[in-house]
Amino acid sequence: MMKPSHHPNDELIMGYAAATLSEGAALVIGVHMAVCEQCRARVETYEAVGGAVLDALEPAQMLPDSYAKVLQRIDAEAEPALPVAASMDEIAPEIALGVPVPAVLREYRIGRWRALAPGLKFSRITSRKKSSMNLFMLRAAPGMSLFEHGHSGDEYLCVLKGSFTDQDGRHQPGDMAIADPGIEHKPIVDRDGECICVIALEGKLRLRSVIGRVLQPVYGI
Amino acid sequence: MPPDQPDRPTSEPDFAGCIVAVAQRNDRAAFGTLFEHFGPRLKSYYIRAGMPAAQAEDLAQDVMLNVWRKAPQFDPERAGASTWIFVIARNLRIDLFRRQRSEQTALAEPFEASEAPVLASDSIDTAERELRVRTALASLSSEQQSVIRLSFFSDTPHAEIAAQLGLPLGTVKSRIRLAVTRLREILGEP
Repeated sequence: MMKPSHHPNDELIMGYAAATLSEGAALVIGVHMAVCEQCRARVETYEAVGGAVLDALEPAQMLPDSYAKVLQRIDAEAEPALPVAASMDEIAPEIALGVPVPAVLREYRIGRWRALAPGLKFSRITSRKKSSMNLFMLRAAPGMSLFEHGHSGDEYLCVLKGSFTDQDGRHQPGDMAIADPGIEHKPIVDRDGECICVIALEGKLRLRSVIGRVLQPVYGI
Repeated sequence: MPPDQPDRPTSEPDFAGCIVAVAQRNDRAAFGTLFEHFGPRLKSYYIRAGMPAAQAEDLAQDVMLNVWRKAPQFDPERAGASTWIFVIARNLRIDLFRRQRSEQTALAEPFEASEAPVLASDSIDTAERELRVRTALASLSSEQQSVIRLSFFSDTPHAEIAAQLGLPLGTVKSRIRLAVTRLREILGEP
């Protein structure tokens, strides 16, 4: 895979290192991290900032038996088996994603592709239990003009396959696109192949186009 | 091992050396040194993340237990002691957060990408980076230091920063951006 050319900004890298982002945003950025060596190094720098912050914290009073308790647990070492990640079999193999499931998404349930409009499909990504996360994959045919839309919350997107072009240029696999509320954008899928993206939404989409009016009820948002 | 030890105040123990001692010979005295320094700070970290004191206590103990268990994975050339322990604490926080909504779901390490073995920063000396980061933090204005510090705790950092620093919510985003930009300038990273 070629090197991504669209990256999360430093506030997002810091939020990712601090684990203060929403689950959906962290997952989409995690997809980017898996293919972006440069951003993994940036995360390490902010982890070092986290280490320095931890080190400089005013200590809280531990319980008097705190240390003894931990030593007891070390001695017991009847370790509970480590949690096991969900196996690939559990993730509907029939979805025929067309791309490998990114590792960070393997513990999630990925729905089958459902048609939204000619040339446009989506697949919802959910935790195994209730979650407020609004995360899905979108699969669009070559040359398709996606939709002109604005947001009431931030939108985080990472390309998994193919490419699209918007006002910021061409986005290829591994590239991120982050849209603040209010930004209206109109991505167009490049003509050389279909495009699959993973997208996290915070807040509601305000969709403008015909497809938008089709999408909105289906997302249930 | 790097030829020079990190430039720390003489009073502070060599925490990285302690983790290595735990890994190599189950050194309990070394573990005690780590516990004494990091235990109370970890508890403080979780309290500031919004957890009740009892839960923060439990989590701080869990992190220290993980420090013992994972010590063999610690590579002093990749991360300083406090950075490595911070990452463990942060990952436990994510685990907890997800478990709360998904009781029976077994979880993998959520941040495996950041633990990938090949990194562009391999060539940077760890001790040098840790020192650079600390120096950079110290040279920020006190408000900017607070902004960065608060960004590492709360799940709703914007609201928290607004409340703690008495700023209107609308200006918090630009203050974070300024603080981060300044930090990055000092760190001299792209």
